[in-house]
Amino acid sequence: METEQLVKEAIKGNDEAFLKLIQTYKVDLYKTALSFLRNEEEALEAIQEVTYRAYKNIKKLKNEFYFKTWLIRIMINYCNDQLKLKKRVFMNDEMLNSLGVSEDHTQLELKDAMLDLDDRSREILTLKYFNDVKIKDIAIMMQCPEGTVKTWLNKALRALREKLDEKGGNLHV
Amino acid sequence: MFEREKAQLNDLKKEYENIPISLDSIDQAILSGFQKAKTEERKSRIKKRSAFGFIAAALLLIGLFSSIKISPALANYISEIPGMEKIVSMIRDDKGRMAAVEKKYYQKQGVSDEKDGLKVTIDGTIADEMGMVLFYSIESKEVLKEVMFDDVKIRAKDGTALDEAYNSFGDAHSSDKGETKFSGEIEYFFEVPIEAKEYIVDLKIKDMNFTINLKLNEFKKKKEYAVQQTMDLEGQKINIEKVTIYPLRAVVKLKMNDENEKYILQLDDLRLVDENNEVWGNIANGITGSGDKDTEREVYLQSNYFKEPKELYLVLNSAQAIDKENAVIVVDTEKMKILKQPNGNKLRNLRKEDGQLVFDLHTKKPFRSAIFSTITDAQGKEIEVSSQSMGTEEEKGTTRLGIELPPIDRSQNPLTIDLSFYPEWIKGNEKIRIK
Repeated sequence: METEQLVKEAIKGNDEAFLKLIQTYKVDLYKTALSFLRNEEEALEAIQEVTYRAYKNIKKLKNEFYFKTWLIRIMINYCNDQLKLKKRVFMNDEMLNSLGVSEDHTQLELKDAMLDLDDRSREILTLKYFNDVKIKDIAIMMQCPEGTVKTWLNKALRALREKLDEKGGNLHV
Repeated sequence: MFEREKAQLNDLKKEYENIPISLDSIDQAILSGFQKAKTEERKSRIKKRSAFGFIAAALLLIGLFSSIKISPALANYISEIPGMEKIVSMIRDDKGRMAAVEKKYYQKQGVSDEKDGLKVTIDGTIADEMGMVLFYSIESKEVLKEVMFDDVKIRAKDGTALDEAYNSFGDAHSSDKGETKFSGEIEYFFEVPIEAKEYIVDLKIKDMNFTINLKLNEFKKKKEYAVQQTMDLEGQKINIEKVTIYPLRAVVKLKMNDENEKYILQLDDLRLVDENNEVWGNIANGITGSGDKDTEREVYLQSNYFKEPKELYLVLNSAQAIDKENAVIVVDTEKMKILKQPNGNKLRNLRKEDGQLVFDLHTKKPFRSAIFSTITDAQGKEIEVSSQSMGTEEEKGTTRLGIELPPIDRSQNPLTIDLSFYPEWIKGNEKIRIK
């Protein structure tokens, strides 16, 4: 079945269609969660909660073409709330190893900088650069003109640069 | 502009592309989330007729009367019909339905539908013009640990629209060791009297649909008593307008006097009493009333339909009531503060636990009711409550009450919580004759 058809079925209450959709995007969801929460256990918890929230709210989804963006946004909102709940925890080597990621210094700074951003900037950068959502689709989901999304995106990138500069070490030309 | 940042973001994405992922753990997490949503869906499926429906669960209300004795005639009848014992065990806390069985108003059905090793049978029904109770069993070829209906719909075969007021789909059966047979009851009540005698029941378990046709016998006619008398508890007046007795339940239609200083919430012990002091009390498991808290209301009692009393009285001694001036709880979920509550400072220690907003309710004896009704935000918009929880701490005499809310913005604070139960009572000794 086409994705759009699956989404239509899921909105009507077809559980199988709903689960297929979550399956389709589970890796995107997981990676998004991991990039925010940086911890496998919490990312899995996020998957559970987002599945739950998506199921509860799918009837409110107006346009079946934007299911993916809608789903990722639920995840981003959840992660933003989680980040607010627990104050930022700095990663140590042990945690990094448990992630299976060998990180260079730049990457670590980038992640820290991302966490320092305001919610909207973090959301927009994650959607655009992490989940490859088109500006047009972000605009529809956020119910604002594309121009506004572009402005926000630029602001977000500028804010990111400033955060990176604060941390030093990021020499750009 | 920002080429470097963009490049870094892309690198970050690539890095995550190579992360080892445990797909099993993810699938497990998806399943848990899905199951949580399904469980709650069932809980909230009890459809409320209005903002102020009262629903009792068997364990929440301590029955006024101990369990009902089985008469020799009934014992005899039970032994004659296979499976009847189980049905009687389900309705033992309802005198009216026991009498319906005893007077053979229970109708044997034995109709079923089978799919993929699962067989659903409607064993029998008790029905009247306002509602029906279906006794079902589910049989499985394999041993099951859990089974429940995901949906049950009843429609008239001739297509007449049915205006449903309340339904409950039976239990979420579960058994640790697993079973092959489960049974329970489905209740359906309507807003307007039904006339059709042939119905189609659509039942859903997971993705399997079962369809069962039902033919109902002629309904017994309701008995109506116009009353128009007033009951008075500590100066708070309740006008009893009408009592209607159907085979499944008795409906008391009443209206609270506008000049009352208190909102009357639950009528604890409203009951029917006949000339021999035989008593029919409130519904122990199911919908116990509907309507609005400050105006008209219907209270449902066990039915005395199958008794023909010479005299019949409606009696009331106790009701929960709170001052109209101070009838709501107002909380700020950001500062975690109770800003307003009914007199007596009974709710304390507002906190967040396991994602729920939790209060302690201090009373002499634990108060076993989930007290909250609708919740509105500062803009007057209703907030959807996904679940309420309740637990008692016997030694401390407190009841822990929890509400699960969606995330609340700062601008939504404070929240106003309406009450459907509260541990404040007005007492009296009211007895009015209705027949």
